[in-house]
Amino acid sequence: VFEPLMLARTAHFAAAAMLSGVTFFVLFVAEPVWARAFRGPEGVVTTLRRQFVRLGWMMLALSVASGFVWLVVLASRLTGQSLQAAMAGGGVWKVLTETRFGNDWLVRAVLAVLIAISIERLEPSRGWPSRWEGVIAVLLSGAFMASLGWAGHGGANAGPAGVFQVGADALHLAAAGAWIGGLLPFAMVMACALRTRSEAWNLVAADVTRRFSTFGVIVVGILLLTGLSNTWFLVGSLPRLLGTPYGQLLLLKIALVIAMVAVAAVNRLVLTPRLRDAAGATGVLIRLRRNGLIEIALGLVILAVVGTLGTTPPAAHTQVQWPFSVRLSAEPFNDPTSRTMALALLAAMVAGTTLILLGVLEQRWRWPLLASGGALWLLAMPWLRIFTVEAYPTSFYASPTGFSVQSIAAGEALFLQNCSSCHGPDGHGDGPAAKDLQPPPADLTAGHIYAHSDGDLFWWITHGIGNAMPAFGASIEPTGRWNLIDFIHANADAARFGSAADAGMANAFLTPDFAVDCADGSSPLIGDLRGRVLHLVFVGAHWVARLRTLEPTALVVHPDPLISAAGPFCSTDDPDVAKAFALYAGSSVEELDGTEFIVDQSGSLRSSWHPGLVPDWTDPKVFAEVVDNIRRTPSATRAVPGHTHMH
Amino acid sequence: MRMIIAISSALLTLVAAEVAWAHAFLDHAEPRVGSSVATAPHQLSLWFTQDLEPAFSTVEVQNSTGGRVDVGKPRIGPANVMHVGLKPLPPGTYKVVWHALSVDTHTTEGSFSFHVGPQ
Repeated sequence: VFEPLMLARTAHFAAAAMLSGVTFFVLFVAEPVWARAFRGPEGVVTTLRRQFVRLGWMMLALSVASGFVWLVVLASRLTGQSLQAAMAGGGVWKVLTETRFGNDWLVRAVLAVLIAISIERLEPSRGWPSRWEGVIAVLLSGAFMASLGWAGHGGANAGPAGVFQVGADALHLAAAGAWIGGLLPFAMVMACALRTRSEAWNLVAADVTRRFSTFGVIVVGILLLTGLSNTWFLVGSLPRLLGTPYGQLLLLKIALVIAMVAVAAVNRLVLTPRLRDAAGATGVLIRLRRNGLIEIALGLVILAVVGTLGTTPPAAHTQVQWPFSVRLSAEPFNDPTSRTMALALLAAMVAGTTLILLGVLEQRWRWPLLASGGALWLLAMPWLRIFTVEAYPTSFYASPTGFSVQSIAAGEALFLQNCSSCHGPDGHGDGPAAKDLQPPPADLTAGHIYAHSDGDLFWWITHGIGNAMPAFGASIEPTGRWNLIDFIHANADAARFGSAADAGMANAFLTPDFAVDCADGSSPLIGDLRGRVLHLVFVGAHWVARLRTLEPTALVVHPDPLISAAGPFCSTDDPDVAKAFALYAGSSVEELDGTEFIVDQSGSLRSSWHPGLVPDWTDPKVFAEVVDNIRRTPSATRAVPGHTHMH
Repeated sequence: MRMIIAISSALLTLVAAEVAWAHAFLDHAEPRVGSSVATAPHQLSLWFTQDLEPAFSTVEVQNSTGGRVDVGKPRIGPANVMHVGLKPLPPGTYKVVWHALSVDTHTTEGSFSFHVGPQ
């Protein structure tokens, strides 16, 4: 498929990278070598210098042309106008003046003019450039490459994190450009040394290779730091890397860069030392030149991959299709029956790996070390299966519902229609149709429900389990299946909530989410109120008097919006809130009148009370003590695995 | 040794570098997506996962006959939230159609409905 935008992007990335790479190469690699070896009228060097400058001019021209095409095609897409109309009718102007991309392009157009002036100063006919002229040329072309970060994929998130992310992305681009763009001049020096075939030029080639690889180590260091900061801010996960088209493209890019680094390492560690030997120098030079060209080819493929990545929906926003039939599980470390085994296996793997690494580094004991390390791994191998659990393509799907009272209520309705005849109305696996089933239906309130990811449950509901459970993929739409999963989790939590709260345990029962209307006009979600202890009060006709005794920070659920709006507190009249919380109270919606809950600062449901229970929460002193206790014993943030909240 | 360092660092870098958010998706809305509200809201707010370009991001609210019920230009600010005023809405179902351009020049679009009044 001919995609002009992607073509323009790739061409622009490549040209800008080459441009900055040539100037970096001239300043940090070539000029210092010329200064040592050939200050003075030297025909070959002058030719080479002229070629570098010509390459710079060509790349600047290509950058400007491809940047212009990129701008016009984008403007035509955004305004829905033809290319000509976008240019004449103001579409291009609107993009330039009213978008961040356009502002970036204006800045980069100015940079392009300044770069032209700085390149002109590097012409050999103007003598040797001063150090400052070199530095300015490098900074300008580096900025031209780095400023692509503002037009690209990264750093579109708000706040200081976004600024940092753009900065890291810019540095990443500048470093990558300097490396990839330096390869062509590097190959040109090797070719030149090969043509002249003198001992002096062999030394020049060795010097250039050494300097370029030192420069490469610095560049790789920068790429590492900027890349790490990006990971820190963007949180890429292994399942996303393995299970999305975006992640797989990224893996391809990683493989290509590893190949590039390997070729560079061969140049530096194997080939460069051999240049001192005049007899074999020609063969070495041929290989150095060829390796430079291989690296350029790899670099161009990487740029094409980057161009495709920029138009692929990113991993963070597509569902992960897990490609394997198992996934790793840390559960053996938590289960007392398997913990000893798990720790022993971990120790064997760490010891085995250490021995192998020592064997690689240590010449004298190499084979005994390698053999014993390998033996440890072989011994551990058959048992490693305990760290894996069965997985499905949907195992890492993230639920889009956000564990809201609406999804729980909708899930409950679906559960009663489709599931309760076997799994029982309360999910205990004791429905009327259950007694004839073999294997019996699962108790959906048992502890194992916490060991499965949302995505596992989604797979089983969609496709069924063997002959035991039918598939509901055709009869219940995806959102309905996610709602069912939210209900199953709420139901399992609710089955434990009463006894855990009575025992004063700091269990993490995620509070079902809902929106409230507050006196100040805002309408936050419960999930947005993390950090505060929340007091949730269900007030029906009988308990209106309670309103007068409440602190202004309470959240009130009341069927009549007129009364709930009267207080200074936040309130809601959403009937789904009562439906969801009746599960946790172990009562019917009607009996919920007067019931109160406390949600702790990490969003966990911690305690409940209803009229007549001691201690009496309506006594402000008693209640303050209850809240204080909860505040001082924070719960873990999350106990139910697999819930991903997409707020 | 240096080669090992170089290779492992390159690996880490590249894992890190490109996992980015490149499109503005709807995070949540007020009134909520698919929700039913008792009283008519005066404005619609859309929260996106990324900063938007105001010049190329639009939203339309339609009643059941397709008539526009939004008033005025959509306002954007903070950069990832879009607000638009609403006419007084009689009970009924309303459709929201949005087009967003994120600051990294990717366009996304979507629609959802909400309901005003008793179900």
